[in-house]
Amino acid sequence: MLNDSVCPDCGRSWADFRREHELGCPSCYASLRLQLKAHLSGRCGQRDQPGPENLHDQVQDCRRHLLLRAQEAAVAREDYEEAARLRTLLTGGEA
Amino acid sequence: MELRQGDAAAVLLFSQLQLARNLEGHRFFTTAGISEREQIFTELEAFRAQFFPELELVGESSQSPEKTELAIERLDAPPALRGMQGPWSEFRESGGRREIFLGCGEQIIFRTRRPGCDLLSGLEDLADWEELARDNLALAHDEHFGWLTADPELAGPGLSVQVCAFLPALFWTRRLEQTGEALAAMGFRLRSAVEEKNSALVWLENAHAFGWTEAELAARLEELASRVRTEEENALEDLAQERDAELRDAVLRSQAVLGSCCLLTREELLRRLEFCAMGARLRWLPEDRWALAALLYLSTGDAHLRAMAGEVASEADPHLDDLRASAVVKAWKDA
Repeated sequence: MLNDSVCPDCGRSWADFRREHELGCPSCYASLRLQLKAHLSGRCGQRDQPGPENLHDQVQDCRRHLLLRAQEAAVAREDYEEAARLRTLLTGGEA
Repeated sequence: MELRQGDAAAVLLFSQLQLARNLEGHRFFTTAGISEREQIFTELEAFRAQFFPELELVGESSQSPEKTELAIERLDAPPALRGMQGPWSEFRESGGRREIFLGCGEQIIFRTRRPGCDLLSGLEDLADWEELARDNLALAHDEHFGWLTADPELAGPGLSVQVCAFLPALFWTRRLEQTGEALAAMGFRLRSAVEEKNSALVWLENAHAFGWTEAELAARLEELASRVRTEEENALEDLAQERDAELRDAVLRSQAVLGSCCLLTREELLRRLEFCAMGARLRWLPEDRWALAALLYLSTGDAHLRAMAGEVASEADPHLDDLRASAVVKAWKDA
């Protein structure tokens, strides 16, 4: 039954998508929502898509996260000099 | 093509990010009819002309098929352009590394390329362009699926991240397949970067994007690429230890062939370049041979040679082997 769903805007069906691996228009996401959710969770895991965020902020957060991880690893291997250098970077100073 | 000339450690040659966005209220480009394609293209072109008037037009749909094929072979066009009938256009920042593609499978693509593997900085390159698109175009977005794309596995961030890597030691030790399997289990993949299906020059890329933020994807691939680089170094060390005489012989023979051959098939050339690249990494040959080998690997395919010759030769035309040999010998001697 779900396989018979058709997008009212572009006429693309779930069977069309299975054959061509491409959707026809943004409305396909609403029309084929259930099948797509199942398909994506099978292919990409169960994670929900995080909301859109400014790319500069994302990169800054990500760099901070990576520095924190590196600092933890340095402490774990008792490399305190490296841990101090990373701490300086984290607080915005120059290492 | 930006390669790290002279840097023998540059296993990871260059990286690129492509951010795809589509307009709300329109079909995706591949399913839209001709008049809707033109409408989409006009809207995107007006945005481009208003905010990026300084960009240079470097490619458009009036290109001949040979030139388009050549561009794809040289990695100068995103896969979404393959088979596109147009209209589409490519604009490049003068002297910069950023580009905009309009009217591809995904309607607008922002792309940046950097030498080495620096994907987070690449993402920063695109941040202001993406913000302009977000603020000035009605982009297709859904609370659950994120940015909407024709390929739903790209939905969410709409991001493709790629690192071009030269991995001759993994290729020759037959570990490349295992590396590919390990990457696939984590949602990433290895794909040949040249027309041959099996090659030592590969793209490391995300297989899907949904569920990730843009920065998470970039950071994850950076980390995996760094691990692949270590694997390549380990494989080369093993090869040099276990098959030293055999490898040294193959490197020196290949060096001689590349400097003096008269006819060279693409298949033989790739094997010779792989040996010379490994020889350069092991310092048996000058270090700059590594980058030269990668460059020749990319630029000696049949489509490229046909374009160089300014003619359309049949696939079996021995003239291509002649051309290939003279181009390689010249590059090898000039370096």
